[in-house]
Amino acid sequence: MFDRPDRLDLLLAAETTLRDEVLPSLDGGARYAALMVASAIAIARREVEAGSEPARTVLDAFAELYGQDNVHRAGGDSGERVRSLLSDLAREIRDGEYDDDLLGPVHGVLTTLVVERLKCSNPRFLEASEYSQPSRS
Amino acid sequence: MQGEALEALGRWIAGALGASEIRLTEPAKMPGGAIQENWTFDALVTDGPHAGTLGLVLRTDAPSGVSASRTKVEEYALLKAAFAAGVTVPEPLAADPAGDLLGKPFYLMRRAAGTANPRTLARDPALDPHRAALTEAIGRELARIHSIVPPRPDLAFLDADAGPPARRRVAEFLAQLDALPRPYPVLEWATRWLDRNAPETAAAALGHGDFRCGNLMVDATEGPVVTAVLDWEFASWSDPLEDIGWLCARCWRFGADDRPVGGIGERADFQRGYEAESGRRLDWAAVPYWEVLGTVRWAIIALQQGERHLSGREFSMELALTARKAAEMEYDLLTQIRAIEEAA
Repeated sequence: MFDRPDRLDLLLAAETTLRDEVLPSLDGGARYAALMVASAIAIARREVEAGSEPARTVLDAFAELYGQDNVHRAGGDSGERVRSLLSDLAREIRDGEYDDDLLGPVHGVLTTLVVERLKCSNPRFLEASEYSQPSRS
Repeated sequence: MQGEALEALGRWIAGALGASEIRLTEPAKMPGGAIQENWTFDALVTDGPHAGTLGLVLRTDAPSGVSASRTKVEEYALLKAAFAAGVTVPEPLAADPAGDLLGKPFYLMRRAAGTANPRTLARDPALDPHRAALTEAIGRELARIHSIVPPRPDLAFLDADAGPPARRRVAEFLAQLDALPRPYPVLEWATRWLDRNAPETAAAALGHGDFRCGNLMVDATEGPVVTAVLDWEFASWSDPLEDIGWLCARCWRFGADDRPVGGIGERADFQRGYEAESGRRLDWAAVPYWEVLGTVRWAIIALQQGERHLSGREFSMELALTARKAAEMEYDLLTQIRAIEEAA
């Protein structure tokens, strides 16, 4: 129901303006704050761009572990379904259900989950194992 | 702090240092610290053992409502024990445990030279020729900390019971994960692995609890040398390897991934200093477990920082972004544990 430019357009405009027009004139604490803002906008922008794709990828990985039927029976939209499956998986791990095979299929699901999150929060980490910046302490 | 408050502080410090007269510059609040407040000032001291100009830091709780893990009185006791053991710490000079003067307890220490800047320590090429010596010195510092062993009546506030430190940490992690509003299956998985592989070692020495390059003050003008080991609030009786795992975990290298000791230097240099000072052999083969443990710990702390921001009590862009770093630690955990298992 909202007008154009849409939220992705606005985030992209904000990110580009901050990076190209604001950041070069800043230093010290203000520059640090602006770098953090740029980083936050970029994460939000990538998540909007990605849409429901990451949740679907994670659901596919869960289907490998639990079986197709069990995953789709979880109900709700894909985000809610992922949340509920993560909750189940966390409890199962704590209860020791994967103790004999911690490096088995459960490792695959967990890796898919983290990779999908990192693609939005810090894609450089996946490319170069580089921790996100800036960081002071 | 000005006027009468400053004069009252001056009288208190004069009494504590055995001075006949003292003059203080106006205290300036040092940057950082949502939980702590550090005020720096100079004192011109007449008579007594500290006669002359004295650079001081006064440390007290910040009014944020975030409770520190150690009281200022306990921190002062830890600093005194470390100073006596030869650890390079700011010399602790006096404490007001009752909080009569400022309305909250504080302690006073000598101001150390240098800066605690992890990015400089990890990345400044000017440090490169000195990295071996600096890393060896860091090994010596940690060995001196680990020379403090229980029982110690002056450190009676440290939990002495609690069994093997690795198991104690696992129990803490599970409780902390339960307190977070979302499930974190990767951290559950890593904690499960930690539980199943926990060494049954004893809490044989004082662990600093946050020994990493952000808490090492270094003066680059001469040397460079370590001028202070900071932030003792997480100290506990532990397995000495816990500090080494925390220092060496990949998440604390600040981009200098090829330097496994805190982004600062090489294992061999650290080991030389640590073994020379402690007289004990350092078993690197046992350290990866503690690197994993440190990585889980930092991931949980990162998530807790995000919750502090979300609680509304402590708005902070930095805390919000820190929570999003937890996925980086999670990725490392999946990689590290697999590597350890494949090597076994």
